[in-house]
Amino acid sequence: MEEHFSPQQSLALITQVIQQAKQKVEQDDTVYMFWGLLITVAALGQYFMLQIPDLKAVSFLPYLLMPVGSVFTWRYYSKKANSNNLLQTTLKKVWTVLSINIYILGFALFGVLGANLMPVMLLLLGMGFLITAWTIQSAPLQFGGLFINLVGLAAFFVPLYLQPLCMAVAGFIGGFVVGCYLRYQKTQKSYV
Amino acid sequence: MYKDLNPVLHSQLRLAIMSFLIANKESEFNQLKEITQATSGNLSVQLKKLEEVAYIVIEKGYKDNYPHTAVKITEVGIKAFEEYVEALKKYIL
Repeated sequence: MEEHFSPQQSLALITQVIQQAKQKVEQDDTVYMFWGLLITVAALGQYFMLQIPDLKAVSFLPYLLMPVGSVFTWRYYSKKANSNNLLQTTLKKVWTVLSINIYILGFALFGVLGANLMPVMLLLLGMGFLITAWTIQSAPLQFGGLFINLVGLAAFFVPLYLQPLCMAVAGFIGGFVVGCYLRYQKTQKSYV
Repeated sequence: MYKDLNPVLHSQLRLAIMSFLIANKESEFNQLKEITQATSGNLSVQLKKLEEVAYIVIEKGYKDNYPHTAVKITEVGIKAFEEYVEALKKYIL
């Protein structure tokens, strides 16, 4: 890599390396897979608890997995290679704000939103995916975001007791499947 | 041949390092090695050259009890990179 090269090659190299820096964000497939599964498990847990009259009142309990997930995510990123990518920093802030709002809605304002709680949470989740997708130009994440967004809109018309299934489908396809696809894509990419 | 282009930056490996640092502000030695696919020896030599002209700073220390080398781009490095891209435009546009 020592020889000098043409301005065109130089520009191509700059573009390629900066693109790789962007892809570094996309390659966080583990987090998408983890959160996709966690949301699916929590939502299915709530769905089954809603079927049992004695457990209805505490059917929110599976969602306590979410704070556990946040701790995992925080530890995961703190162990990762140190890089202050501007995109990563911005996206981290966006996701932090969205997560805090989702927690507040889910654990404190559920009485205010009632049957609209889950659809609104899905819309916020989908928005996070779409902002990430458009920032790093990731087609799989864009699909995930649009899918979660559409499920969120559809969930407004779904009876309350079936809404956890909407959440489970959105988490599984929009999060877990998209994460698996990102992992598959990563194995197909080669570096400079 | 390309006299307007900064010779320190107009080298594939050094330019790849600087491009990555422009996007990331800072990086680890191993991350740069992965991105550039360069050998440790070659990468060290090129980082030293960039450090000599104050385009980057290299901070050696420990992280989780393991040796850790952080590479950060400086304001001088950012300015040099911007000037390089401006000069590049003359040849391309």
